[in-house]
Amino acid sequence: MTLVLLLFQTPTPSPAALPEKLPAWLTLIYVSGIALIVLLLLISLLRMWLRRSPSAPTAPANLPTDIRKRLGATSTNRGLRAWRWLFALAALSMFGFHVYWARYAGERNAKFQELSYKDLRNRRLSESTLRGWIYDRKGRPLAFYKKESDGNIQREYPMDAALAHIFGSDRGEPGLERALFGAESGAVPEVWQIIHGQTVQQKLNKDYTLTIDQDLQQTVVEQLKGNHGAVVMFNPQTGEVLAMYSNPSYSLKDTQDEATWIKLDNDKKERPLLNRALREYYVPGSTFKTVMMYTAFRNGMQGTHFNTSGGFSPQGCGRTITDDNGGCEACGDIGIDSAYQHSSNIYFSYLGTQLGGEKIRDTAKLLGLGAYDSVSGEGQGRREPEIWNASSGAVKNAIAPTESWLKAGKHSTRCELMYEGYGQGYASQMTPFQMALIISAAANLEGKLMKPKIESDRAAEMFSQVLTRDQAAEIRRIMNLVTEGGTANSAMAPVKAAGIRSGGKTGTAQKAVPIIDPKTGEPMKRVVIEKDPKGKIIGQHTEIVMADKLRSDAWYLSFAPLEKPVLAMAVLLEGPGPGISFYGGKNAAPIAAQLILRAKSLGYFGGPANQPAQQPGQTKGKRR
Amino acid sequence: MRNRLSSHLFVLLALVGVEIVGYMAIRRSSLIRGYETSLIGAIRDLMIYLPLIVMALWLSIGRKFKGNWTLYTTAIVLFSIGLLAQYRLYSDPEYNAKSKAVARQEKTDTLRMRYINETYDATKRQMMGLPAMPPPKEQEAPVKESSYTVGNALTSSYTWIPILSLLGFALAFSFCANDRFLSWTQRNSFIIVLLTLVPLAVAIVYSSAGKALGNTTPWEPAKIPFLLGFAGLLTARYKDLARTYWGIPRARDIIPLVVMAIIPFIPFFALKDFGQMLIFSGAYATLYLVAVRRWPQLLLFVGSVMLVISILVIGALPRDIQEKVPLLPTLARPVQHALPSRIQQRFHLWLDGFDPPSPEEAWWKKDYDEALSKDPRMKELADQSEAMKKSVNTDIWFDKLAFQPAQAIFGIASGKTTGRGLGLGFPEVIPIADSDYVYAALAEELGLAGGLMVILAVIIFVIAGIRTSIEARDMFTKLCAAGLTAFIGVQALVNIGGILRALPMTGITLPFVSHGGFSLITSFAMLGMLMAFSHRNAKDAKAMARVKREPESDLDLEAVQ
Repeated sequence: MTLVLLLFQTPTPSPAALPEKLPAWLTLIYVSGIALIVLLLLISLLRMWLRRSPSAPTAPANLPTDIRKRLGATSTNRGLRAWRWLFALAALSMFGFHVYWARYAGERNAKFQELSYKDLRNRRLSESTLRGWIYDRKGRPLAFYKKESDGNIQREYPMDAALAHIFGSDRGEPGLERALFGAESGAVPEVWQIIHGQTVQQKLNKDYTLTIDQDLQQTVVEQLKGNHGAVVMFNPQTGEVLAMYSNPSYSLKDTQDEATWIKLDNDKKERPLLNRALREYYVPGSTFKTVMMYTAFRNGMQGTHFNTSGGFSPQGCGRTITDDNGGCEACGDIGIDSAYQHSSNIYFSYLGTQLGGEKIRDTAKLLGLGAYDSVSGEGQGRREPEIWNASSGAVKNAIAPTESWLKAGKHSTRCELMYEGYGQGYASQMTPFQMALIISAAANLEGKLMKPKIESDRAAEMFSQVLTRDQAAEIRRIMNLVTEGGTANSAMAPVKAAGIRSGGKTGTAQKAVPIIDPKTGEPMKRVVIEKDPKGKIIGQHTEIVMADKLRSDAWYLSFAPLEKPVLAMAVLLEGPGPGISFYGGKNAAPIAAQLILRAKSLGYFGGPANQPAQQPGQTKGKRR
Repeated sequence: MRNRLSSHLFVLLALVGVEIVGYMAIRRSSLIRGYETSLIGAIRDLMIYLPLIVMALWLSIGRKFKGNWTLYTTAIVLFSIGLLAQYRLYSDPEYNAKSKAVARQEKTDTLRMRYINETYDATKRQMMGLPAMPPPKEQEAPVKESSYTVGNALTSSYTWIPILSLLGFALAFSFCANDRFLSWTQRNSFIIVLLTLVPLAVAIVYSSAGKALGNTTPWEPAKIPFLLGFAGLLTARYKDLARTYWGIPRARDIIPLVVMAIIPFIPFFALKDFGQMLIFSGAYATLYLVAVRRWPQLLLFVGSVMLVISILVIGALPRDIQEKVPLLPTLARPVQHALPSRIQQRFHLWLDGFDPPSPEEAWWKKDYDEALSKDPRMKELADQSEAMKKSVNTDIWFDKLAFQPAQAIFGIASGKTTGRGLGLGFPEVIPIADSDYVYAALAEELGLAGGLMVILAVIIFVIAGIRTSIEARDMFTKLCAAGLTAFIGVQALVNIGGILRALPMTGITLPFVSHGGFSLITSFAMLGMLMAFSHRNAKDAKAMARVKREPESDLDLEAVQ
C-alpha cells in the first residue's frame, strides 16, 4: 500500500477539463467585439473629417490658398483643434502608465514586489489552491489536509512540534512549507494563456516524500524531552536526513495567531523558534578531535606519538594543557587510537600544533567548515545553503545551516592551534548539523562526505572526498574503541548487548552564557562606564551580563553498525544551567544508544523489523 | 460608416450581441466559483437597450436629428462597458455582502472542493475524511443561488437611474435644440449661476467628506448651469477681453469673469469635492483660452497654473523628500498648514503610495492612533521596538488609507495584457470598484486591451464633441459645446490618471462607465446638450447651403469672426 502511495502522482488536469477556457474565449470575443465597434466609430469620424462640411465657415473660394488657409478656420477653432490633439496625447500617455503597471512594475519596481504580500489576491490564491502533501520516507503523511467537522479544510501536521522547525510557519523565516509551496499571484495565467491550456503552476500542488523517518523522529523527540538540545541523523552512504530535531520546539498550530507568535519570538529564555540543529553555535569540545584525526590521516601523520605525562605546555603560551581530570586520562607515550579512545586533550592539543593551520584548513573545508584567517570579518555566521542537495534554491535557503567555522590558515599561531586541537578557542562555533556531517565522512565506506538531502527522490551527490577507503575503515576502527573501554564504554552497553558494534566520540564543552532576568525573560544587561587611564569618564555602553559559572554542554557523535554504517548522528544536550554539568558520555551518549536500538527495531540493521508501529513501546528513563 | 441612423442602429445591435457574450462569460465564471449570477439582473440590464434604441428612434424620426450620431454611439459603448463591470461586481456575493469574510470563505471552499474532486485519489480522500468517490456531477453541491428577484430588479436604483438619465437626455436635448432657450440662457447667465448656489448650500449643510445620500455626489448636475453661466458671460465679453494692455485685460472686463469663475469653486471646496474643482479649472481655462486667444495670456495663464501646481505639490510632499532640497521646507511649511489634510493624504498616496508616512505626520497621526486604540494587541506590538512600530505602521497604512489604491494597482498589474478573464479575476477586493475605480476592475479582467478600448472611446467622444464645437456658428454654442466636451474628457482623464498614479486620486467617477448615483444622469444630460448643438449645426449647415445657392436671401446669421 505504501508503494501505491509512493507511485501515485497528482495528475495534471487535462485541458478538456479546464472550465476556465470558456469564459476566457468569451472574454476574448467580447474585447474583439468592442474593438470592432470602436474601429467603426473611428472610421465614421474619419469620414466626417475627410468630407469637410461645405457649410463650415470658409472664406470665398476665389482667394489665394494661403490666405484662405489663414482665414479658413477661425482662431477659436484653431485653438479647439489644438486642444483636441493635446487631449488625445494626454489620454494616450495615461495609457502609457497602464502599460507600465501591467508589464513592467512586476519586474522592475522593487518596492512593488516587496509589498506584493499585501495583495489580497495572493492570499486568495494560496487559500484556494491546496498544497501538495508531504510524506515521510515510508509514505506516512507528515503534512496533509483534513476536512473538519465544521466543514473547514485545514492543514494537518500529525507530528506538529516534532517537525515545526523543518516545516516552518507562515510568519518569520520560511521553512519547507513555504519553500516548496509558495504561491504567488503572478503565477496565475491571463486570458491568452488560459486559452492555451495553462493553469496555475503545477509545482504548487506536487506531493513530496521526505527522507525523514517518522518513528526515528518521534524517538528523538522523546529522548530530548525536558532538555534544550538537538539531534541530527544522516545515512552516511547517501546523505539522507533520517531525523533532525531541535528542542524546545513549538506547535505549528500556535503560529496561526499573531500574538502567540510574537510571544514565542520574544521568549529569550527558551527560544523555541530557534532551530538549534541548524542555526546555533556550540563549543564542540572533544568531538572536534575527529577533525584533527582526519587531518592527521590525510597528511600521513596518524602515527604521531606523544608522551602525555606532565601535560602539554607549548612555549610562549603560558598554559599547560591537561585532561579533564586535571592530569592525564591516558598517560604515557600514546598514539592516536588510544588518545581518541580516552579523549586525551594533551595529545590532541599537541597534534594540533604539529599539524599546523594550513593542513587543518584544507581538511576543514572538505568537511564543509569555514576556515578563516581572522575571527572578525564578513562571511562568518552566514548561511550555507549550497551544502544541501535539494530541488530548488528556495528549499536550500529554507533549511540552510549557519556556517560553522574556525580560525585556521597560514597565520594560525601555536597557541591558537593548541586550543583548537581539542575543540576550544577559535574552534568554538559548531552547529550540531555540522558535527553530524563530520562523523558521516568516516562513516561513509568510500570516505566521501555526501551532500545532505531531505527530498527522497533526489539522487545522492558527493560533497567532497575526505578520506580514502582504507583510512575511513581505520578511523572507524578507532572510533569503535571509544565504545569498547573508551569514554562511551558504559553508555553503549545496551547497544553492545544487542549485538551491534558502533563507533563514536564523546564531548563535553563549556560555554559562557548570559544571565536571564526572570522578570523580563531577556538577558540581563548592565551599563558599563568607560574611563580613560586618568579616570575621566569618556563614554558608556551596555553589555550583556554573563554568568559566573560556565554552562557545560554534552555531545555525542555516533555511527552504527561498524561494518557498513547506515546511520551517523550528532546528539547535543545543552547543560541545564550554569554550575550544573552535562557530560558527553553520561548524558548525550545514552540518547544515541536508545536511538541505535530503535533503529534496530525498525529494521535498519538488517534482520526483521519488529516494531514498525508509530508509537514505540519502550519508554526510556532518564539516564544520568 | 455613414452618419445615418441605420448604420448606428446596426452598431447598437452589434453592441447588444457583444454584451450578451460578455454576460455569458461572467455567468460561466461565477459558476466555477460556486455561485450563480442573476439571470433576472442580466435580462434587466439588456432590456435597458430598449429605451436606448427607442431614444435613438425618437431623435431621428421625432426630432429629425441631423447631427453627429457618433456622440450617441460612443457614449453607449462606454455605458455598456460600465454595465458589464457593474454586473460582474454586483453578482459577486463578496462584493455586496454584509459579512465579507463569510462570503470569501464560501468561495474559497468551493474552489478547494473542486480541486479535490478533480485531482485527489481515493486514499487521499479517505485520509481527509471525505467519502472515497467524488459525488457524480448531478449530485454536486448546488451552487449558491442568486437572490435577485423581479421585485428587486423593478425597484433597484440600477434600473431607474438609466431611465432617469435617458429622460434627462431627452429634456436636455429638447431645451438646447431650441434657439429661444439658448438666447435666454445667454442673457441671464448670472442669475442662473446664483440660483444654482441655493441647492448647493443645502448640500453643504447635509454632506460629509465629499459624499451625501449614501455614497453619491448629488450635486453633480450643478456643473451644467455653472458652465452655461460662464460660457454666457464669456460670449458677451470675449471681444473686450481680447483687448489687452501688456497681456492683461482691463479690470472692468476681467473682474466679472473672475467672479463668475470663482463661484463654483466655493461650494465644491466646502463640499471637499476636489476632483470637481480640478475639472472646473480645466474646463474654464480651456474655454477662456480658446475664446480669447492671445499668446501672452496663454503664456501667463500656463505660467500661473504651473506655479500653483508646483506650490501645491511642494506643500504636499512628504517631509523626508522635502528635507533633501535646501530652503524647500521653509517655503513649503505655510502651504502645508494651509492645505487640508485630505489633499495632503491624496498627494502622499500619489507620490509615495507604497511607503507609509511616518506616524508623526499630522494628517496621518489621527488615523494611526485611532487604529491602534481599536486593536490593543497591535499597540502592544508597536511599543516593543522601532522595527516593530514600522511594520505595524505599514500594516495599518495598507489596511486603511492605502488599501483601495494599492489593491487597484495590484489588480491592474495582475491583468497584464489580455486580462484575467471576465469573472476570473479578483476586482471585488477593491472597494467601490463599480464607480470610482471601475477602470481598475476593467483593467484587471480585460487587461491592457480593455483599458485601451475605454481610452479610445473617450478620445473618440472628445473628438466628436470638439467637432461639434468647431462647426458651431455662434460663440455661445461653441463655448458650451467645448466646455461640455472638456468636462467629460477631463473628468475621464483625471479619473483614469488617479487610478494609474499619474495624478493624485480624486473622488470623481468615469463618465458614462460609472453607473453610480448622479454621475450617469449628469453625463447623459451633457450628451443631450451636445447632440442638440450638433443638430443645430447640421440645421445651420443646411440653411447655409441654401443661402449659398440663393444669394439673394436675407437670412441673418450671426457668423463668427
